[in-house]
Amino acid sequence: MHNKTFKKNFYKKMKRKGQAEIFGLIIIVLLLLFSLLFFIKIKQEDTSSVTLRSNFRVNNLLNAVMKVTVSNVDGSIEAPMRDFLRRCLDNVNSNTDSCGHEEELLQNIFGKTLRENEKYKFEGFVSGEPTPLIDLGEGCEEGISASPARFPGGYEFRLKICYS
Amino acid sequence: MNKKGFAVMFSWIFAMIAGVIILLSLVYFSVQHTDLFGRVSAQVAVEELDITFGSLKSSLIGTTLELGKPIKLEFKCNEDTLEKEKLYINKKAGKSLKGKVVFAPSELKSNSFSLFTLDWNVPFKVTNFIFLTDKKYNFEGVIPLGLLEKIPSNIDIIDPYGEEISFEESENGNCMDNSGKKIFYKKQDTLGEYYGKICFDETVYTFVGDAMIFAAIFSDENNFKCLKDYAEIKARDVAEIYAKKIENFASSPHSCAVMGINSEWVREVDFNVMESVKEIKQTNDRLVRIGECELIF
Amino acid sequence: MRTDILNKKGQLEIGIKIMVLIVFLVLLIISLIVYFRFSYSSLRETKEEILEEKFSSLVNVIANLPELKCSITNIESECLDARKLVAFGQVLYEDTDVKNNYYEELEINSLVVKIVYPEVAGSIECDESKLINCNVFNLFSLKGDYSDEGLKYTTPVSVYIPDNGKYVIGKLVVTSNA
Repeated sequence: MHNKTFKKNFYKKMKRKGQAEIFGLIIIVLLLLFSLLFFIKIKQEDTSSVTLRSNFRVNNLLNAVMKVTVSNVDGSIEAPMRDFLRRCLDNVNSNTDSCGHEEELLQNIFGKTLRENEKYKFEGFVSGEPTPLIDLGEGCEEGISASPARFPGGYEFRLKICYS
Repeated sequence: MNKKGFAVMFSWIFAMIAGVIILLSLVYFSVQHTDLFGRVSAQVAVEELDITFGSLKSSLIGTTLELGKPIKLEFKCNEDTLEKEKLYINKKAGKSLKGKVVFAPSELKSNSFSLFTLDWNVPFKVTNFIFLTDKKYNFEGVIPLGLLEKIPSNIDIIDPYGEEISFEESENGNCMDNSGKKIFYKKQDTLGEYYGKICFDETVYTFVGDAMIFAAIFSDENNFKCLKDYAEIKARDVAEIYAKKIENFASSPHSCAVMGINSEWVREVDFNVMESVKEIKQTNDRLVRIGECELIF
Repeated sequence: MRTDILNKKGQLEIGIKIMVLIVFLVLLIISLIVYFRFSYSSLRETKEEILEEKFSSLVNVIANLPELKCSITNIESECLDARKLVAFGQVLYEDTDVKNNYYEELEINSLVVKIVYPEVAGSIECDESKLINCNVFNLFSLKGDYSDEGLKYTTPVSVYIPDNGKYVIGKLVVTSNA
């Protein structure tokens, strides 16, 4: 009788002890898990901001596009692209002509200077109008924009290259 | 055997082993993290500064570098090595500043540095000199007219209690022992730049170009001499390219070769002698006046 | 009997302690592996970001070298001068010292300007007698053959042709190992 009680108490005690030990193990595992999660969270917060590198590229491209010597439809006149663009903006603004030829030239240029499948948005504004009179490219939400090219007379040209 | 007794002893052994392992791991990681982050941060900082200096080679700017905490910058220029100038941060990371001419004291320690650039023209532009300092300066004597205007307005380096730099408007000054930094200068109207002598105590260096004056102001003698020599090597390379350009003028429909431009003048120019530099400028100005000519620079 | 029970109890406890020790060591090893993997990938990302930034900046520095840039009496404009490009390429080809100086400064494998607009058929190298209707300026090559080995970094550039006073669009292509 005495032995039975002793055995019963013994195994009960052992079970509780085992339970306590397992509980201790679980706490260690939980502590390690929390440390890991904390560590991962800290790492995720350390994101790099966009650097200036693409800014050079888009600024260089806009500058090159504004300067490039192009000709009119019949090739009789040659001038920098910016001069053609300003003239066509005036024509569109006064409903006398379109910028079809200039847009075609621009599409050709962007096709040759941008990477394959690289999206862009090129816009031409005049006299502070909010709506662009030249609007090329699909555009995108996220991209890097060049400093706008501004010319006397209220002409402004903007270029944005999209992140791939 | 009394395994219960052995179990008790084993408990203690286990607790001690586990405790020692945890303690050693914590000590190891904390030492590693401090050292690692210190080194990685310093290396990242030195790379970022190197990239910044590279961009400044082609921009004329003035700015103040504000850092969160004091850091120690060391600029060491060694003429005998190919790598020339090296930058060290907090003695933990270093990098050779190849191609960048940064005039600065050998050691700077601060959380704020003044930084600006100025082009060195002899007479063609060679490169931008980059000036970096954590100090203030007291300019004494007759300061070259227009020199202070070349310091960007957002850079404040003048202080009556700062390092003394003496100026004298003269071509023929003498450098004397213990006279510190002294600059003898004259303005060359054709070139639009100053020229003269720079003294570090009794050691004299002749110079052409406003940028060289600032170079002497911001650096110590060792760095100044080393970087001046490096800048002259760079100028020699640029001169070679302009000399080749002159030789190629013969193929140009806008060549004004009849003006007797000689590529050897450019190859042999002495960048420390005003007369030599002026000759190239005068030739170029003649081409400008004619109009429709391709220019040397 | 009591000794038997105590021995069994002791055995059980020893067994539990050994299991705990094993589990602890396993957890420790897993944590170490995860930690070092994170550290390594974080350092590798930092290295790649720095390299990308460095070479993007380098491309822009090259495009702004006074010995390549358009200028009139040191007043620079935002384009490359075709005559300077040809002279630069010739000097670096002929003079090993100058070439070595530029290699030390830039640490690149090759440097080429390719004209992309207006388009010129084929690949025609520009030289002192041919600045029009050509489309390649070979400026620098470590190996001497202008082969395109290594990572490429490019930026668009405006190129001025003094022979006809026109501007064209090119790509400045830098090839490097890093």
